[in-house]
Amino acid sequence: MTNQIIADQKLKRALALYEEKRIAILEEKIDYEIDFSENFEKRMQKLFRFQRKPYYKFINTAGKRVAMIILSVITALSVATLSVEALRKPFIEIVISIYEQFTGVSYKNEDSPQRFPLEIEEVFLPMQLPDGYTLMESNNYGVAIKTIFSNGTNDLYFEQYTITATQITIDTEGVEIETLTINDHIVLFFNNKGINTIMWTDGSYGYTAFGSLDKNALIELVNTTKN
Amino acid sequence: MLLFYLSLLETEEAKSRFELLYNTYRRLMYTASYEILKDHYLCEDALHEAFIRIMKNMNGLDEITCHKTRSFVVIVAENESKRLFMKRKKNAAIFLDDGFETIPDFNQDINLIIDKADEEVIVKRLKELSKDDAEILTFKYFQELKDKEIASLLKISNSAVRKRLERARKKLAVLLNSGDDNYD
Repeated sequence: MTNQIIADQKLKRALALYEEKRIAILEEKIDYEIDFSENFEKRMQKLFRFQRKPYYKFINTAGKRVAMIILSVITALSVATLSVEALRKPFIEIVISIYEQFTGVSYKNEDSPQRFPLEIEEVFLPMQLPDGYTLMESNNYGVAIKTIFSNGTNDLYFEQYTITATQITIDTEGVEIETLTINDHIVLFFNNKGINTIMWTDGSYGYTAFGSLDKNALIELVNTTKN
Repeated sequence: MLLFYLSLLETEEAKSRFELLYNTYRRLMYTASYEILKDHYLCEDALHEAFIRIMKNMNGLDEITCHKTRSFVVIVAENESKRLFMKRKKNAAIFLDDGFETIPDFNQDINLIIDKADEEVIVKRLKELSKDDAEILTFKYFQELKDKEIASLLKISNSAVRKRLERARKKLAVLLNSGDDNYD
């Protein structure tokens, strides 16, 4: 057997054991008196009933296509509406609070918070990546999208998030934060433990990029981030 | 929504297995979900989503009462709960620290390190990994799911699955390498 197969088998056995222990702890916590709501029971019964219908195969083909077309039209209309809304960029002020061991960054706005997207509605990414970097991974968490680029040796982390957050806390013990203005955006730059970080907002979302890239390369990301 | 549900299950056997699975694990799944959401009604929402996701994968499951299936349904419930939690969370403060830790350069043979380590030590080190890392390793090596199946369960791309697996294996190897448990 090759090393790979032996290691995979060992990992399989270890994970089985790990899961057994982990789930045993959960099982001890089970409350057998859990009172599932009537609404939940109804939803589950609905699931069971739907399974028993004999005509799902028809639905699975033609019906699904029709549903997709309808969904696409609705999505296209929503995007058009959002684009118009996005023209009205509210004024946002970045407030930096420096404490002894960390720094808090808040996005303060003059307008009602309801005007900001509560979830990511438009995805923004750097349109031009530093030499050698390619997209490795991107995960959408609803209120934030985390993306990792890599050149094989170093990773570059890019995050777009909603600015309903009250405060973002950064470990900045002994770190000096530099404030820059780029394309009318207030941009924060700092280096912490060898990692360069840049943060900014475009009026709708907040952005953070960090990695081993130098300051100029990170500033270039601010300039090229578009949807 | 009706159309969606209808397309999920394919055989009569799978249908009855699904109901058996629901009755067997709903309390365990609820408990796993409650650990994350701490809210009864949110847990029910997460469980509903989890069962829809499980329905899609019913044909690939082993015996309903086996350990592998129990682990699978718990991870799916946890995953849907995390997704719901992230979706509802309005405070982005944790994101900077959440799952973005950097991995030190590591060029050693990961297979060899795992192969040399004691199983109990690996279990100990798995507990030190983030839940996301342990989850993807479990899907791949214990549940023996294909990358495509993991991608569908986690709603990420195939390449993201490969990258996450690579990172999780590397983190595990770093932990195994850093401890002195192997020499006990």
